[in-house]
Formats: sequence, C-alpha cells, structure tokens
Amino acid sequence: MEKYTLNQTPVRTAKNFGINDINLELEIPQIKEFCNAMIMCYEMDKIEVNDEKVHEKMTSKIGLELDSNYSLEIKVLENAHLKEPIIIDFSFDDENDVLIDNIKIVMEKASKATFIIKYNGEDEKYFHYLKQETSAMQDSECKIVIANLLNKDSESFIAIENNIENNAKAEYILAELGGRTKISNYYANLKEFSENNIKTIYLGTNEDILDINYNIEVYGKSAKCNIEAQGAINGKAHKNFKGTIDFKQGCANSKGIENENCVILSEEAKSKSLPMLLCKEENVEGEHGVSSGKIDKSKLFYLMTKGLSEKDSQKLIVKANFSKIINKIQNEDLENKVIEIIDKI
Amino acid sequence: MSKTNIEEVNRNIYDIKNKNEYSYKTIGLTPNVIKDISKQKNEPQWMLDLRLKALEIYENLEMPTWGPDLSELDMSKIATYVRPKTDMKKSWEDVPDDIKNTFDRLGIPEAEKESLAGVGAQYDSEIVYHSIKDQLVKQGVIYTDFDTAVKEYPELVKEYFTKCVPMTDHKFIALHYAVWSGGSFVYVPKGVKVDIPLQSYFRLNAKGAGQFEHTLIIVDEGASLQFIEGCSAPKYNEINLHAGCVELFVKENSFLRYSTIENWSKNMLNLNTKKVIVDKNGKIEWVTGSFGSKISMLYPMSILNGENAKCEFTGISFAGTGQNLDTGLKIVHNAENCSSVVNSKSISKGGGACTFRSNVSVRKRAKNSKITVSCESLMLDSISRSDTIPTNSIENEDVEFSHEAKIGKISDQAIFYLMSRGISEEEAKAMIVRGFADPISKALPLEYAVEMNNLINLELEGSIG
Repeated sequence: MEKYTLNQTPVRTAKNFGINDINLELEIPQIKEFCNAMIMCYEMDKIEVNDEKVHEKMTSKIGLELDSNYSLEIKVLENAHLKEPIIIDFSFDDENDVLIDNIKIVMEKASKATFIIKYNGEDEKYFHYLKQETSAMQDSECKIVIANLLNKDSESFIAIENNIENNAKAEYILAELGGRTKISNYYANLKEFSENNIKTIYLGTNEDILDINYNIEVYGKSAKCNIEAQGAINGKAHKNFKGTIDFKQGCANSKGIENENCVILSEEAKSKSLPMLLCKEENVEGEHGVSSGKIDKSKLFYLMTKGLSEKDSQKLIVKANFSKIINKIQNEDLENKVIEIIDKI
Repeated sequence: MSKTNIEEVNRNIYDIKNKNEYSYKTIGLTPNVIKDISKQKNEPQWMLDLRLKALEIYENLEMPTWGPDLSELDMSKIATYVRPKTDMKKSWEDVPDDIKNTFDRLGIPEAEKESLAGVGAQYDSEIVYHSIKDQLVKQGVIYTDFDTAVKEYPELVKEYFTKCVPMTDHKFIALHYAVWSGGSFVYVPKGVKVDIPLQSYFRLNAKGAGQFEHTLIIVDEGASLQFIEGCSAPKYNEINLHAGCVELFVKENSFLRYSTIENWSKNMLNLNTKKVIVDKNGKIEWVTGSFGSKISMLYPMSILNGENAKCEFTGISFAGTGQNLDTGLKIVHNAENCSSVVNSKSISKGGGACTFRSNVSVRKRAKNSKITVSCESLMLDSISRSDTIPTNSIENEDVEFSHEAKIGKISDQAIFYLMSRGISEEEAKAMIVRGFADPISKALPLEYAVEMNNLINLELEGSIG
C-alpha cells in the first residue's frame, strides 16, 4: 500500500477544512492486457477509429501517473452528424480486472455525435483509471455519457479534460455508481459562445470514499456552463464534492451555474462540499447552490400514507431526484441498469 | 464619454497622522522583547510564561499555504509594543490634546455622550481612555482595559483567557499571545441586560507598528450585551500589522451582538482572530463591515455548543485599489436544534480583490440543525477580482443545509427599470449599490450605519455611453 495525495483543488483553502485534496492508501495492481472492450457504431463512414493496447505513461489532473493498457481515439469527421450513439463497452471479469484507458474524442468542425462509455463488472474487485479527453472544434456538438457500473469493492478513477472551441457544445452525463473508491476530476476550458453542461449522479454506500473535483475555466465571451450534481450517501460513506467555475478576464457576457444536492440517508455518512466561484470579469452571471441533508419529511410522509415503507419511500425520492439526469442518458438499457443500482441502495 | 464612477472609501479623517511620539517601544520578536513587554506591564509571572510559550508555538508553526501573499511581513521590523505618552485616563479632558483630537475627529466622545454605555479607546499598544456608566457598575457589569483585568480580576481572566481561542489555532494567534497588549474586558453578570451598547475603538498611529489587543467578553446566563468595535489607522509607506484576538463567551439563555466597522489604512495587514462559544439557548449576532487594510484575513468563528443555540452573521466587504480582503466565517454546530443564518456581501472595485471564505461544519451530534448561507458579490469593473470559496461539512442526516452564492455586475434590467421611472443612470446605479449594502447598514447601530454610508461614498458622474 502506498500513500497518495490526489485531486487537488485549483485554489487552496485552509488545510484543516480537509478538502483541498484527498489522501488515499492504494495498492496499484500489476498492469496486464485488457481484452474485453467493444465499440459499436452504425455509421463507421463518419468516424475514424484508432484503438491500441499500448502501454505508455498516463497522467491526469487527478495526479495519478500509471502505464495505460488501452488507448482509443475516435475522430468524428467534419460536418458529420451521427444519428445513433457510439457505444464503448468495457466488461470486467477475472481475466480483465485492471483497465487504465486513455480515450480521446475529436469532434471536427460542425460535427455532431453521442457517446456512451460503460464500465461493467459485478463479480470481483476491479481497478479502473480512465483519462478521457475531448477536443470539441468550432460549431461541433457532442454528448458523452460515462457510467461507472463496477463492483462495489472496486477502485475507480475518472479524469476528463476538455477543450471546447468557439460555438461548440459539450454535454456530459456522469454516473458515479460503482466502486468503494470513486475519484473523479473534470476540467474544461471554454471559448467564445461555447456551452458545457455536466450532469452527475453519484451514490455512496458502506464505507465508500467519493472525491469529485470539477473545474471549468471560462475564457471566451458569451460562454455558458452548468454543473448539476444529484447524490445520495448511505452507510459510512464519505463524499467530497468540489466544483469550481472560474470566470477569466475577458469572458464578458458569460454565465455559469452550479448546483449540488446531496441526500444523506444515515447517521454515519459524511458530506463535504466546496462550490467555488472565481471571478475576474465584471460582466458575468455566476451562481452556485448547495443543499445537503435529510429527505423532506413531508414528501416522505405523503408516500408512506400511500402504503410505501419508509425505505421504499426514500428510494423513490432519491430516484425522483436522479430522474431528470437519468432521462438524459437516452439509452434504455443503461437507464434501467442505473435504476437497478439505485434500488440496491 | 465618461464612465460611471463609484468612489472608494473616503479616508480623509482616518488619514490624519499625529507626531510619532511614545514613551516606550520594542521592535521585533525575541524572548527578550517579550520579557521587556511583560516587565513594562508589570505582569504576573504566569502571563510572562504564557507569552514565552506562545512565542515557541509561533516559531514552530508554518505560514498559511493558502489565501493572500503575506511574504512582505517581516516581524523583525515590526514595532511589537508602542506605549503612548500617556497612561489610561477616566476623563477625556486628561487625555493629551493630539490623542484626544484624533478620537474627537472619529466622533468617539460625541457618540459616548449620545448613545453609549461605556467607551474604551486604545492608541497604539495601550488603552488611553476607559469609561462605564455608574448604573452598569452598580449592576455588577465589568468593563475595563485588559491589563487592569489581569491585575484586578485574575481568577476570572485565568478561567477564560485562551480557552475560546487556543494559542495553537494558527501562527498569528500564537504571535498575538506572545505580544498582546491592550484591549477590553467585559463581564455581564447573570440576568443583566445592557441595552445601550459598549464600544471599544482601536487606533494605531505609529509607523511600522503592530497592534495586538485582546478583547474578552463573558455574557453570563440570561444576560445580554451589544458591543461595538471600531478600528482605523493613518496610511504609511511601510507595513503595519494588526493581529488582535476576540474571545467571546455567550452563556445559557444569553445574547450578544458584536458589531465591527474595520477601516484600517491600506498599508495594514489585518490578521485578526475572533471566536465565540455559545451555550444552550444562547444567541450570537455578528455584524461586520470590512473596508480598510491592504490584506485582511478574518473569519469570525461561532461554536454552537449548547442545544438550541443560534448564530446570525451579517457582513459586507468593500475592496478598492491595492486591497485584498479575504474574509468570511466559520461555524460549528455541536449540539441539537442549533440554527445559523449567514448573509454576506462584497463589492470589488479598481483592482481590489474580495474573497468570501467559509467553513460550516455540522457535527454528528448536532441533530435537527438548520443552516442558510447566502453570499452575493458585486463587481464594479473588470480589473477587480471576486472569489467565493465556501467549505461545508455535514456529518449527520438530520440537517437542513443550503448555501447560495451569486456573482455579477449591476443589473442592466434594474437600471433600465429605474430609468424608466425618470431616474438618471448615475442615480440608478447609486441606488442599486446602496440597496445592495442596505441589509448590513440596517443591522448596524444608527451612528455606525451613518459611518458606513459615509465610507461607501457614492460619487457618480457621466452619461450613458
């Protein structure tokens, strides 16, 4: 076991607040080949794919440096509009239990596509570290769904880095459901008239550790960003949510909104949040909101008067909180899988 | 085309300097300097031992790794103790003219006559004037300078001194305990309601000096108090330092409102520490306005230690050219049924930087907690900076917590609306800024609300581009 200090916030606050970074003891497994990756696309003429099982150093803003065992680059060609989503499915099993993957997506000018990236594996403890980079060129539009559906004892690290050019739009839907350790980092830099939305659902149970660190830097004029996170923690789970919107000088007329809602379902669970707004530009609108705590008693009471047990009522309310984000996935199989996991909370 | 201009704080009366006169002065921070200060004050041995221990802690603690850059602070050059050329007086007539004139200009004797139940006035390192109305003395209220309290009420001081703010809290509180001087001591006995405020005013005149006053207030069971703290200094070309400490104890069923208007000069590093421990059914109200200083790091802390304890925080910061005001608060809910309401505002202008930094912590035992935090920041140009860095930590499920923050410029829609009612653009903007600060000025005692409105002196000129 080695000690790591990971996922540092872009601006530091007092050390004793305990949120600037996360300290973990990790046992990094031996890195071997991962063979259960599948890419599904019905419009291959509109994309270029390059996938390799290369072993090269991979670093990210999480701060973890490891050798990758899978690399994938998908380029969506200029002006190409994909009607069906590109599905990238990684299935973990006892032979394929370690994945360190680097996925690059290039959205060429005026292209449009949806990606669904799934990490499945229920039987054992797995180790997963993803670095996903997107280059969204001018006028392009992409939606990227990343779902961590791994076994509850797994370790999951997800780092996303984006460059969103003028007038481009990137929407992310992130489901942080599996794993005992869930560390994620999101960075984007926004140019003029670009738009970036992140919608996240997270779950923490047992003794899970979640450390979520998002940072959007707004450079261009009239850019928009929106971070929305819905979560629930139970058992002795410990969650940190750190979200930063950083308005740089010159990003006039830009707007940024950040909201996190965390439902705490047990006496032992701990929720920490650090929603930062950094601003060096006068003409912007920035807002953040955080709410944490118990489920609304009146909602609970209403459902229980309809004959539901307290536990089922709680689940229903959590599902209702998550539903706006789940519905955005627009892939029935994945939506059902996510709901199935929430039901086990 | 001229642009709407909102003036920064008008500092004329605060910037008048007196001749740099003193009867004793120490520079730097060594064990000998500390022994010297203690000897000058004719202190008991326990206090000297405490100072020396604090120095040791100071030397072992690291500088903050976050917040504004403090690298220009060189403690070897700071005058750690400056005794003015007078001792403490009980009548303004006995205070030397130049010092009395300073406090006259600040309006302290006038306010004392009209609306205060007691006044303490500190000049550099020592209190030069202290008074309290006879009626309060008869009720058992103690309001005196801290040095007198150490000698006359040693048991009370020993019971509470360093118990709210331990000297290990951070580097600058250790510094404070090593070289503290001056400040006020207040004890309000059980059941006594002090309806008219007490006020302590801290004036630092000496160039390159530090002010390290210690304020200790105990509001005993069922009692209430309103306390006002004011501070200012004239501007010099070298760094001055303020590392005061405020320890507050709000006992069962008692109430304390602690109001501060801070208007240090723009060469001041203001690294002040304030903390309150609130017992069962007690309530603390903080009202704070931060206008001055080059750098401020100030986060009043409220520990709600008893059931049903309450905290209300209302604060405003105004950072102009060359200022970096890193302010906010800390709240700990440590018992059941506690509640806190925070309303913070900031205005940045002319390259000034305002940071709202907070830590709200709800402990496991603090069931049925309710917390609402709201902060709003107004940017008046694009060379300034405004950051919001709030940490929230919730350790039980029976909590209602919400935090909201907004950042932005003066709303075009609001200006348009007011202009459609026949108001000029300049006046519309002025009204909006005054309205932005209004919740804070409403919470201040009248004379301080007037001072704050003077501080935010809105001078508008120009026309629509």
